[in-house]
Amino acid sequence: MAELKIENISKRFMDKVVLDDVSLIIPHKSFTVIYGKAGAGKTTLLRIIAGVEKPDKGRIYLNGKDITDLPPKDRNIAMVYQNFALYPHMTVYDNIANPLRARKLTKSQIDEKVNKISETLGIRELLSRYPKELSGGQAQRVAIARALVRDADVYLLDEPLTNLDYKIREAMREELKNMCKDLSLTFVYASPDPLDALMMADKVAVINNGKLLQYGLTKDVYYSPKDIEVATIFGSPPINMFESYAKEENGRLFLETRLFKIDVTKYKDKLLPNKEYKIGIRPHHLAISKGIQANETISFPVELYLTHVVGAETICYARSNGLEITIYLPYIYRINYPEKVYTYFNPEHLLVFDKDNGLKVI
Amino acid sequence: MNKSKFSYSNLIYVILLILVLVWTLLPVYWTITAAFKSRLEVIAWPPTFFPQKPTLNWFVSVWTDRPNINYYINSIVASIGSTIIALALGIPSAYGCARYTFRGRQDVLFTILTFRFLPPATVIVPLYLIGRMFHLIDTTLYLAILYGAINVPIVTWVLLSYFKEIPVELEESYQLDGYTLFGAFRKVTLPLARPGIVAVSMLIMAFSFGDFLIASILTTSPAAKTLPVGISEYMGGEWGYMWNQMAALTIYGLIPLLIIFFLVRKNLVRGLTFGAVK
Repeated sequence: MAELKIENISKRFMDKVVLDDVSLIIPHKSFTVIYGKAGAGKTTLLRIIAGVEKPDKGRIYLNGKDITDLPPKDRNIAMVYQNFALYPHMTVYDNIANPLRARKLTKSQIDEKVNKISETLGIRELLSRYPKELSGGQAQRVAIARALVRDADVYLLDEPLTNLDYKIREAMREELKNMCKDLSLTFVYASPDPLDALMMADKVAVINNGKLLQYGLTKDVYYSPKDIEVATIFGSPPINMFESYAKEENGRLFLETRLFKIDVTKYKDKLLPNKEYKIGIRPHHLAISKGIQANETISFPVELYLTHVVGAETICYARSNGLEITIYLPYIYRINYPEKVYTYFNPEHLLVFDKDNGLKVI
Repeated sequence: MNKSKFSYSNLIYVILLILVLVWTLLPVYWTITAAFKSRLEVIAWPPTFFPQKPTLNWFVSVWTDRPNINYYINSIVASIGSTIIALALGIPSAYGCARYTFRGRQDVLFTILTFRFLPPATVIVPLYLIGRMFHLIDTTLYLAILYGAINVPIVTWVLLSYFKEIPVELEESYQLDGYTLFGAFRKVTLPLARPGIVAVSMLIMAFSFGDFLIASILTTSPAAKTLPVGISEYMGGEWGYMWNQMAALTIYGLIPLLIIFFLVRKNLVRGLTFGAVK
């Protein structure tokens, strides 16, 4: 089976551990996002896969073949760099044709492939320009074209959208996702932006401080994070966390926070009474209303003090009883001065973590 | 705006500029006019500002009265040879220090630089002895090797900043495209560092072409002597100081440098100011 297998990779620079025993299997024809904050080790992982960096320990297998000691040119892996890495002394055409020339294709074959990919990416009219004459978005497309023009087994993308403005980023996400699917390619994409993973990825690998925290289908990682750490770092805007205490009353079990109380009797076998838990609620699982909502949901009063409109969506910052709460609304909502409203959520979306070891219990 | 705006600071600036120009260009002017003057006029007192009876005699006679053509060729060979040697040694050392971190890298760079602080005169005797050991005394090859070696620090330090400025991602990307590291170096790094390479080449050529001290001690025959040595041979002797021939030969010596400087002047300006801003 064609796949990229990363086995027990470790890497340190001087005294700093950058990657610590990372193992994952990236399936063929899939879109995988390596998610982590700046300095988490994701770029190093890509560079090791590409072969421009040697791991201290561990092996890399591509289609079952050990490629750990192969030089980059013999790996058939393409990479798109964050800073584009276009050759400044070559035209766009020569930049894109470069990997084809290395493969000794004939002039007409090269011509055909370059024209086809530049057509796909809408950069046909830029072919005779030099990189310094391109805008950020155009340079990005050229960099992607140079990678996609080859038939690589794996395409590595190192934060290719980070340097672009919001609008282009949105459009490119859609395009990359479609390209991966339509052309049946294998993408490994490093990003510090949870939205990249949420909007494009089939699978996501969450990395922090060089350790692989969780790897799985994007929706699984998002809706069912393994522990508090994954829940906190993977999500945009960040998840709301509440301290809570499990209490037994009249034979029913409740989780009590400073803001609300939830009946969790049906999870009785997973929770212990008189123990502290952390409750996580994703900002987009919260909604607002003028009054208290119906029985199915949990409501509590908050004071909105800031709203931040992004595109057609709104991130609301609220506080209540000394706690900060982030609410994500899928529509535009503006306030001119602090506003008292109720926020509510469906208890089905509740995430409960053990406060002692951080692991998810519900 | 007042077109003829006058300010004292401007005036001082202009006066200083004129002084600097006179200071720099007067010897050049003297040399050029001396080449056209007669043997008597050149030593006349008070000196004449323009040649009274301009003559081209000296431009012809320097090719016939002594083996200056050999000296000329030797100078060109030594400067080109030394440039090749200095680049061949300096480029790898600059590249290595720019791209790889290793224990003692700063010490290596500093040591390389200290060689440049060393006045050549202090090592001329050992260099003579070493040259004799390898039967290299009185050869153009030995001059090229020495000029090259002396200039390795300059090449290393100028190109170090160039190579550091070229993102390593470009080389990596080139390798991922399907080439070797050396291919990436040749097709990406070297072309991008070209202004720097051109600039240091010029410095080395100017140094090698103008050196007198080393050549005067390590060469003895027309087969190896260089132009500056040839010029010095018009000093003293039975005819005394032959200023006219010296001036004419100097002008011939300036020509190749001027041609090359003119050809690469764009690279040169960029090369020498690179990294100064930003």
